[in-house]
Amino acid sequence: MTEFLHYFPQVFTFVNLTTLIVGVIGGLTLGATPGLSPTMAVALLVPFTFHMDPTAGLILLGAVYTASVAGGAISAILINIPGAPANIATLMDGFPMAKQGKAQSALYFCFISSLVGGLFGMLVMILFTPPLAEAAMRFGPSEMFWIAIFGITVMAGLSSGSMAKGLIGGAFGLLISTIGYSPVLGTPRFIFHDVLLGGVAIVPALIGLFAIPQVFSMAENLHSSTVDRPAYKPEKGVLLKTILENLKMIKTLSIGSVLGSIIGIIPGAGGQVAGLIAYDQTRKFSANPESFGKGNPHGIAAAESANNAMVGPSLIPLLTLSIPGSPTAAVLLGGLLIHGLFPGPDLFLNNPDVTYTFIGSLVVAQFGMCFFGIILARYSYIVMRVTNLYMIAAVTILAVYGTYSVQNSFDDVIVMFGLGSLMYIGSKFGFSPAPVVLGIILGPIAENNFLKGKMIAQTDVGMFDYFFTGGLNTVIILLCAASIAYSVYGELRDKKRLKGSVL
Amino acid sequence: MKKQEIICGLVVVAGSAALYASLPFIKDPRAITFPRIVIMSMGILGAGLILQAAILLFSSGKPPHSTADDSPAIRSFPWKPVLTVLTGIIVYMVIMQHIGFYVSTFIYFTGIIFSLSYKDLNLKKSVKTGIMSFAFTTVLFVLFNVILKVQMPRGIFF
Repeated sequence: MTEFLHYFPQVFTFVNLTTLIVGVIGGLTLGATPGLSPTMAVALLVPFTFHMDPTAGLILLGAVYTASVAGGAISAILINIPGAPANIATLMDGFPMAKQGKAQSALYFCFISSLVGGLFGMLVMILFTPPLAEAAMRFGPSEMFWIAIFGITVMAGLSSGSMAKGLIGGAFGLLISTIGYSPVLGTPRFIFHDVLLGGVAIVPALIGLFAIPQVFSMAENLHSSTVDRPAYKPEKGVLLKTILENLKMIKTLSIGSVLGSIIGIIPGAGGQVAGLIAYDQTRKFSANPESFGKGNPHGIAAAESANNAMVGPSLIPLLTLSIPGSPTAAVLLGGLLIHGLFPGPDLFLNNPDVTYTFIGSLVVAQFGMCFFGIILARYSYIVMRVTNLYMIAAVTILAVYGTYSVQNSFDDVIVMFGLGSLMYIGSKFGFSPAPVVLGIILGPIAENNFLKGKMIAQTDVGMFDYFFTGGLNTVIILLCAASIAYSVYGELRDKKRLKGSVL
Repeated sequence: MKKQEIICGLVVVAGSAALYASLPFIKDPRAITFPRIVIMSMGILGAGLILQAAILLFSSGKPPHSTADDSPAIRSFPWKPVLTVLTGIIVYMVIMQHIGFYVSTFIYFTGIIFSLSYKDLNLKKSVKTGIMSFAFTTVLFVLFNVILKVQMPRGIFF
């Protein structure tokens, strides 16, 4: 906490504050744009940070992450299309409120509740990150290897309907990370074409896997933007009334913030789960549960406080153990790595200025998100008019720019497009990009630690004893097994439920 | 769906086998330890996927041809816009190397919108698309070339 307070004023330097404001406004706009998920928005912005110093670069990505989650609620409320998976619960009451002519009020509820939840989540993050990072200091190569595998198993289970497909995706990502020259031995591997000589860099992979399938998907649903749009006319005096009403919702905001923080800390769970669980629990505790789904502002407050409370805690496993708490955090991990910042305990020891300024900027971004969100809410209908046609063209061009600018290499553009097209086909068979991305990011960590561990094991206790015994190893292996078992159980339960509903 | 899972599993197993067969071509055997474990895991998971789908297929008691419900989905799939975008991106990437990023971006932006919405096209919409493409390319030029000074592919123009 002392170090956090020491570096906090750095957020307010001219460059950092300007970057933060640009990030917040950009994040809100990108989040509100249907078809642009926060993950894709952050992935497309990673290359922009190359030309910035690491602190400003991370502030930009963090601000976009924070604001795009809240921005996604704008399209959920106004056109019944969640801007991000985290906003699914928001549309249940947000869109009915908009249809009743209360769109402005619904948007204000969303941003104020997001601020409350977001600040609570940040407090949890500030309190829990340093002790966890200290605990991670005890991790050796075998533990780090298992942590990488744990990250993939968690993401595999939560990102796609099938655990087997998620794990195949993760393994495919690990395999992609081995293309090129071996980092330890310098031996060329799987270079089937000159294009793959330099291996597959993180940014082209990130952009390709998230943006290109989205481009094809938008082409599939070319005319889906012609949806039911309720009339939206901003009026004066609504803001004050909404703030007063919102502040009375202490119980709802508490449920949302606490649940969102707990769910955020669990690697992989993400805002979608947080929003839906908080919505469900608020409805259960409500004296008027039947009003939910018909335009009850408590529904918006619960969902939005939860999905923003998730943002801070989702970065705890990322910053301390390199395990992203959500797909967007996985992309953020890529952003950290390209700036030469390796998440884990060393991050806090070697780069306290960057790390603590980044955390501080996320706190300020919560206020920025609320302030600019309320202002932008008046003009959000403009963003809603952007059709898939323009989005297809713009996203492709930004994807090409983002990829090429990394190393000024056209080979990267080909790799990006090839991977993206492959992912699009994969998505038709139920594969998800998040485990693949995580495999690519965690691949070098897993391989390097595996090889280091192998060398230690050969001169010490042997492979089995080194990798499979010891307190920490056992705990992480059990966590991997529990993560797989839980996902398989969930799959079987869903199939049973589906079968029951068909009969 | 089950048929789809079996195809999926077969592709994964075949891909893993092919990659495993390519491992001896890597000169240093120490460099293949990790990829070999990953390939083997992937193959096992692919086989697991086939097995899972096969068990579900037989336990449901339906003959394999009853899963032919995939075909209407394939027929109703909007191939035309998807293939248009695919072709558009390939052409964009090819011409970019010859005429440069900014000119090809303008052509791609205009071309993709025209080709995807040619049915609704009229003079007003065509002019609007042209202006939008020009404005978008100009913003990119100012942002990347003037402010950020990022080097983008150059061609015969600039």
